[in-house]
Amino acid sequence: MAGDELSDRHLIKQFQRGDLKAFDMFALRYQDRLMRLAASSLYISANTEDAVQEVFLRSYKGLSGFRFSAEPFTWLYRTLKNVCMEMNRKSSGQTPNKNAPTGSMVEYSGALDEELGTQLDNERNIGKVRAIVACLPDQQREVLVLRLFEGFSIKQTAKILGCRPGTVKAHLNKAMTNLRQSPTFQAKRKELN
Amino acid sequence: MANQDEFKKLQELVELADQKALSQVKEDYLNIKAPANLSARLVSQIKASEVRKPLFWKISWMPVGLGSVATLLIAVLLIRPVSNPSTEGAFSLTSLPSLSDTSLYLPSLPTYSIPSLNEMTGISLLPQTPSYGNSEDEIEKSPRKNNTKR
Repeated sequence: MAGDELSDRHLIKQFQRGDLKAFDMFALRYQDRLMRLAASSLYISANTEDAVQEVFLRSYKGLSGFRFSAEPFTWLYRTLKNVCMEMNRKSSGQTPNKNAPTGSMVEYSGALDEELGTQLDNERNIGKVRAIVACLPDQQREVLVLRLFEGFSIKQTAKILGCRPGTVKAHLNKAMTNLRQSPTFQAKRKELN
Repeated sequence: MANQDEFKKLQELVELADQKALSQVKEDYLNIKAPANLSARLVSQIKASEVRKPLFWKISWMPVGLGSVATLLIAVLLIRPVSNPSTEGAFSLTSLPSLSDTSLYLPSLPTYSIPSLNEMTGISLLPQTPSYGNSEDEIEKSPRKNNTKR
């Protein structure tokens, strides 16, 4: 993380000097992670790519005046959080993602081109993850995803979320309890055993 | 003791199952990838937003510009002279009549010339000014002349 942080800083400074390749590298570094985080937060999985694009567009405009008061990823994460909230608010009238691709569609993807296949795989994975974490409240879901799935330490998670490490631990504990009680997680456990 | 051991084993099994299920979810989660063409689309979007930027800038300044132009226009209309033939017929604040034009709010009275008034009334309205004898007849009739004749 420290090495990343330094090079993030370096890339942003280069971008602020007008080097667009530096921004491209910065975007490439974080696009997968932002995609995953957006997928776990959005009600409608079809909005995931749009959310990530919107985050990068905002960062393109915002990074030119970035003063490093926060870590670049923390800034990106908060931007993503805002974008996801806006999109969820807009799509609150629509039904949540219930039309995730079925097995037959995924099998059919073999005949389609690679890009579409990746897209369908993505949709399927998003559907699976969303089915598990959707039962959790926002804060617990955020902590679970950052700490267990993304592998950030308690301290880093606390910094990203802007709270105390104790709060992160408490949320994580509650999240695990809720997860064990959720029917989807229990079904998953039975499926594996 | 045997019960406790069994409970511990069961708990461990449950935790293991939880861990397995959780690691499976984690695997699914980490398999979510950004599409390959995302950065290309991003570049095109950024370019499009940059093209739109001047227009946005203009639009954002438009109310200020319009406001100042409108203020200027009103100021010019107010300062402009009253009778301007070019704007005759068109409504403007300055095309309103001035107060010095009394014909608008005072009724028009009939006008008579002084001799006709004299005839009508029988009274001479002309001032009785003394004559200083400019004509020849008057010079002859003047008392001073008469005195000199005497």
